[in-house]
Amino acid sequence: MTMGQLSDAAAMFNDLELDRKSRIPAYVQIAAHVRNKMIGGVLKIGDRLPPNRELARRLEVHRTTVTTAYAELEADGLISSQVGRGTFVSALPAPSATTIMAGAFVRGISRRSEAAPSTGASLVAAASSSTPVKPSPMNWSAILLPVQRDRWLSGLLHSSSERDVISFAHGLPESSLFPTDDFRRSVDRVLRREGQALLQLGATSGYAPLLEFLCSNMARDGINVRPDEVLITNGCQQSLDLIRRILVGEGDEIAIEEPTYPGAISVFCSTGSRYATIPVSAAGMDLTVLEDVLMQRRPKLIYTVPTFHNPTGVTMSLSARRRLLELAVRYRVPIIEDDIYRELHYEGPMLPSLKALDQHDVVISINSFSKVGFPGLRVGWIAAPRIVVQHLNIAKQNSDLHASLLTQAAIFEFSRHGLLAKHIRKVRKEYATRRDLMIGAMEKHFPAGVRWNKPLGGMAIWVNLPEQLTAGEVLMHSAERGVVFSPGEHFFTAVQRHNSLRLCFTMASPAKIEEGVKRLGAIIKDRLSVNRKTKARRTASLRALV
Amino acid sequence: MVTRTAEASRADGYRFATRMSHIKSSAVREILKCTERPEIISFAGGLPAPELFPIDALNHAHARVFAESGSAAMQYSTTEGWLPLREWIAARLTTRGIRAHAERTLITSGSQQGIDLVGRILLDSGDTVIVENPTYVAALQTFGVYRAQFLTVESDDDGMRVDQVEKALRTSRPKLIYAVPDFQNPKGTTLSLARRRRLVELASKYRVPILEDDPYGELRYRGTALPSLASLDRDGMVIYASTFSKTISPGMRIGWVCGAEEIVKALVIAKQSADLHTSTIEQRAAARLLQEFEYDEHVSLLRKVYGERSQAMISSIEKHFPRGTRSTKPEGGLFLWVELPKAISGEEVLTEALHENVAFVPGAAFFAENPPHNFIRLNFSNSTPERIDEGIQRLSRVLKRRMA
Repeated sequence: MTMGQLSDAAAMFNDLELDRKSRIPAYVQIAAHVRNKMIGGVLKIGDRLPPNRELARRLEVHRTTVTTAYAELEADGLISSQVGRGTFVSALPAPSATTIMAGAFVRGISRRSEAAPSTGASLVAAASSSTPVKPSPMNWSAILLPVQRDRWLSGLLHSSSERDVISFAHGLPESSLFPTDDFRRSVDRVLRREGQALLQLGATSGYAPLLEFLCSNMARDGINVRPDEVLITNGCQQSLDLIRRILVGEGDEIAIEEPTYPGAISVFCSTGSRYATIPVSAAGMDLTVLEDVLMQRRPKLIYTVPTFHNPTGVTMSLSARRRLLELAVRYRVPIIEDDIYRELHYEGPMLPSLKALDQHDVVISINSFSKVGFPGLRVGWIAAPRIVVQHLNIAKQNSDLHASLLTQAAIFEFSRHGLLAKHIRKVRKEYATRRDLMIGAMEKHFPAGVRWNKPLGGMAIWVNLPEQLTAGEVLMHSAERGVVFSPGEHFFTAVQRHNSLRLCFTMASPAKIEEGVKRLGAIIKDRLSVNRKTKARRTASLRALV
Repeated sequence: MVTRTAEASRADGYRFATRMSHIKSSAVREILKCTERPEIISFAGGLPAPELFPIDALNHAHARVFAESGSAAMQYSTTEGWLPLREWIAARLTTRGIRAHAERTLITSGSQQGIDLVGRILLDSGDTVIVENPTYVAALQTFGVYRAQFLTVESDDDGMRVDQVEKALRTSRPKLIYAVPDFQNPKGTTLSLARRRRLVELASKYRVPILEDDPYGELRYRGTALPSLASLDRDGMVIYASTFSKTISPGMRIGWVCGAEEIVKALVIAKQSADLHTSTIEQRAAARLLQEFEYDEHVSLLRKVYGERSQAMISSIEKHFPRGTRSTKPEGGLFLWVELPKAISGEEVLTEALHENVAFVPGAAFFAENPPHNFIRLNFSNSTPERIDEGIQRLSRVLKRRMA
């Protein structure tokens, strides 16, 4: 690397003017600027980025701002740092995804105009370069609609392969509790009994015996629905997507809790969609804000996780449930009740679901087998008024015809012999133990100023760090020491810094919970003291200048 | 403006997205419902023969998956799909001349999801898709979800009229060309080699991608296999979708999409939001099955049986159908297509045929526009030659009565 290249690298920031008044944090603006330079072809793979210190000086920002920006880009796999050598461009972003990021604060950019002609095309060219005809590779970026990859969701799906880290990051059920043998026998039995029917194309609504089983199961929870008021889906993610398809048209707005499940954000809050966020407090969704939104903006639906809310763990009280239903009925706005954590209930009275309380056919309830222990099967369901299920059936048919019949039949076979109920009792007991262990460890190892609640069920504990820390900063250091978690920003619709984080207690063994929380506590203490020193030094240097 | 008919207090108060009004439940599946009675000889569905499903081999494959990977088979997995399965598919496609790669292959919940995801990443409201008229009806419905418009081209015995595609490309800016080159549904026709080359050339020239839907490619009973569009593609214009539904089992819902790196990346993102990933167990079981059983032998068996059935139907039609009808003689796939005299309506024939306990799908449902009513689609894969002969005789009686 010559000196010339180095200053070139810094020169690409000459045209960056940070908007210091914007609510978009400076680090996001810097990261977006780098992405745009990548798309525009100014930065190529292998190019070196200016060192943190140099860039911080040039932009007149704190070094951690640049560090955070670089960490963002690194997490996206776009840059990598090599000890002693510097930070280099390691990949180019998909132009469409990038446009969204940049578009978030660069106003007036139409969504196609930024699509760069060259980046992706060269990749395709490489794939077909061995042919004698001179290829003219398709420029896909010019026609692809903007789509946003949710990094958190990708992490959820990849995380099972990371063996050496202590992960509190994702709501994965503990694999070692899976009833593998019993389930294998269920598969064997149904294939022997009705193999031909199960391997044939099936009904869109689902495997009839499973539909009936779900109805009788729901009846025990006070939900009275018939099989034609239920649709089997490939899990709650698909349920949300299908509901969006039938209810949310172009320009329609929805009301969504914040923070919330990232998969719901990816379905309802993608580019071009309109939404109002309703804050979640210790009592659940803020119904005063909701009423204002319902009154003034007439959204198409309300999405809520009233029981063991993800990520906060909060459960809405019975009176709040009744109030929410009243509002939905008064303003004629349907509620999607995501009830996926219901069975993971550890203490306190079990409150009726919104669906059970609903007298006006205003609730669409979604649930699945994924959290009690069968995420890999991809079987979930929607219970809703018949007319809604009829529409959902059509949407499902257009999406993928039906959910895998064999897995539906196997889970039914497993459930009807009482094995599901037995399995749920087992995981409930184990997860309650792990929750208590984690809270005990947090009390022991976390410094004063860190706050959390004790969830009555679910998979995670929501933690607030002291204001001066961000979850991203703590994660950067804890990951180095083999402990990961989900920083709060993933559960919010807008990119901003957060001091909240989510710790899942379901997939780490008791020993790992103790060890992981201990390391995390040490890192939080460490960051608090570093921050104090930096602050002191910064104040000192300012004084010197004056 | 929506009038606040708040009095309509129950579920009929749901304000569904307007896009839903563009969709009607598949006529095919409605008919399938009434053809489940055993006395009915059904040429209606597009179902594989259940007696040929490799049930024992699949059961064994599941047992092996549980024994070998245990709990991992029940955990979340990546959106892209189970790598050994993608590798098997890529290797298979490579033997058919497609430059496929596991990295550029996405496992989908059947090829229907492949079509849907392609619509999701490419089609905006008002975008145009070039389709054959008639074509696979579920593809039309899915593109309809994205409020696409259709530009239709005719087809003849050599498949899609590519000269009309060229004309369409010269005069408008379509977003996508949808093609089923092998044994097209509903007609059973195959796109000729010359037209394949030309179609791919045109796509390159006008920079309009092709979605090649190939569910039936493996099921050729006669004639010479032709290269797929994807194998002729030099520029990454072709998105190739296929499935195990016709060769292993439709109930498992496992398909795939291959294409340029950027396309597959975008599809992965769309799939993640749509349903996270396809069933871990089923993907692993399919991969295990393909490792340990003779897929080629199984496909040969299907070709033999379906070949006999298609021949039985062709012969029986030649022998029994009245003059004035004309049917295709497909070299593969699951269907043949019969043209009736102009004055005869397929719907009316169906009503009468159901009294004779024989069912099929009237052709009008497969047209994106201007549906003529004098066509019917007949499936031959799901009935024995004897039943086929009997069913065709019953149908002939109805036709002769209507045409008299």
